[in-house]
Amino acid sequence: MFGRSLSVALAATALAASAAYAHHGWAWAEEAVSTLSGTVEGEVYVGNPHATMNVRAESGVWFVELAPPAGTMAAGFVDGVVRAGDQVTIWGHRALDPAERHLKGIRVEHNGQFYDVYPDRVREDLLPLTAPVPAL
Amino acid sequence: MEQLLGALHDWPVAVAFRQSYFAYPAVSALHILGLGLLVGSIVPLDLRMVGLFRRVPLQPIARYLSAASGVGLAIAIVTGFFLFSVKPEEYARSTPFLIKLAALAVGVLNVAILRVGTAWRGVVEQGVVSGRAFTHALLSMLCWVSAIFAGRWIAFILD
Repeated sequence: MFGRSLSVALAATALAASAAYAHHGWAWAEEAVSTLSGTVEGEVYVGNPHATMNVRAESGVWFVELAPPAGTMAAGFVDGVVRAGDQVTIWGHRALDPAERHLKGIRVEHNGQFYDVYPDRVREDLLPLTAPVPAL
Repeated sequence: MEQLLGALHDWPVAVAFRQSYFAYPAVSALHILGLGLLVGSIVPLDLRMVGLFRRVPLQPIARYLSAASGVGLAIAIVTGFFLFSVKPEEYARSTPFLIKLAALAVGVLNVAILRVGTAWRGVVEQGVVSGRAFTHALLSMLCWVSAIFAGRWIAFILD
């Protein structure tokens, strides 16, 4: 009896967790997609655990986290592609806390080239959007 | 210190590891395995030493659990060194990382002091926990649990 209800509960939890995984962003970030356009400041880090860079926009300097190497390198976003001083636009999910200038980027545009570092999220979160994505 | 961190940053193994597809997640998994083995064996021993689960005989399990936790700690330190090598300068500046190192240092010192005294002999030979051994066990749990909490925080404060 207990075993059965336990397995039902476990199955329900697993189902809920997988649904959440498929449709939501990162726990600390908004579900909505935003864009950030600006100038890269300082070193662009490409590597584990994930790529990072700082981008100066009109709203201030944003800390942008990208994907682990499996995502960045597959997208062609390797060391040296983007350098300090370059103009970029990032599509991604900003932190829930409006005071934090922290963005989890899923797509980077640089010199007309798109780098989809989270291609699944670009497909699920960005491409289905019909309205323009708000700028940060 | 900065030169040392810079040299580690430029170390070819660290450079390759930083860009690796599989090695980094594999080493992360081994690090978790090390932590699991460390805490999973030392906390039950510490709890027994502070007086819980008295039906479990202490004398036969003390050396075994202590050795298992030592293996876990060794795995965690070796894998942790490689994980650190990815961003040595940043981690060295990270407050949670420094707290974790402090907790680790106190934890190791705590077990070293316990081992040189007679309190540990009482535990492994007679299964008797002296007042000193009791204190070491409490401190041990505090150190290893703190190290895990501080360690997890590195990923959420570092930027």
